[in-house]
Amino acid sequence: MLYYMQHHSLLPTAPVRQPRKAPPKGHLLSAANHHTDEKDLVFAAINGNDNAYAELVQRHHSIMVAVAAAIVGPSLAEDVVQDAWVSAHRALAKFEHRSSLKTWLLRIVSNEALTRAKRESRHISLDTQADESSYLDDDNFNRWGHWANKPPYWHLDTPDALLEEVDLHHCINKTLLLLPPTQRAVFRLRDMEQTSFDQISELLGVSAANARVLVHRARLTLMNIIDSYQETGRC
Amino acid sequence: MLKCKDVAHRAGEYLEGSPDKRLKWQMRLHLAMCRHCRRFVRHLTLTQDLSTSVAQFEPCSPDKSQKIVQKIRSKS
Repeated sequence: MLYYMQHHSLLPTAPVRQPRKAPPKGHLLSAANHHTDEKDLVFAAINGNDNAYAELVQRHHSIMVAVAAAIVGPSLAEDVVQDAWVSAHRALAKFEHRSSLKTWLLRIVSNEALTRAKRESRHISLDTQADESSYLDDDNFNRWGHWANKPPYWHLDTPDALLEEVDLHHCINKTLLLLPPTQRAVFRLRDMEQTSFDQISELLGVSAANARVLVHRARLTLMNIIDSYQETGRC
Repeated sequence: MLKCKDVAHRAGEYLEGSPDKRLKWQMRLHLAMCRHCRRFVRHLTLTQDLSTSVAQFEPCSPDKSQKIVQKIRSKS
């Protein structure tokens, strides 16, 4: 039967999905140009050009805050990132471009945040418990593990139809802000920045398995929001 | 044999192209037979694509970046 299904296209194939890199909004430079441009900025910053360093801060500050917030919590994140920028400025001349600048900066902020978390005796909240409304809630399944509450039908179920719903995009962005910091950081690193789970694990001090769980939970929370939007037209 | 509950838990891993061949085949077999799980996986795929396309994060303002540079200068 399996043979028949395989050879008659009845078995769904596993679509290997790599998180898609979102192009920087409004940015006209290609990735290669962006990289060269960044090298120039680093070189200028090393030579004392403050505007060049400010440009690097503008480019990478936000993702650094996300990583710091996942480790020390949102209240200390900004402070930790500012310290990381000071450390990065001191060490910039030693940056050898073996990795991307972003990776190098994220390692610096991760080290700063992990040190601060240790000093303040903070523990990273893994937020791996399912929300009440989550798809992973036991109540969604019957005693045999089959769906008790089936995934609802979506009347908008093509990428193009979903992309046209501007209100839905606001809902998604609002939900992203409400995600627990660790989930938000993992979602951003994995789905927006294509960071490997091993690297995420290293940066955030969580296991790769936990990072997988966190990103799955974040995606399911967003899927719940789309369910609700499909049903009511609101978040 | 995977249950729907297992599919809900492991769909992300499957879509990321898990090297676990057993999981891959078990998922394929389950999806071939269960339309609810096919819908779940399709919606998860659409969610991921849409979120990646529309997500926006608060950018760092020029004021803030200048303040950070000033802080660095004051410390050096």
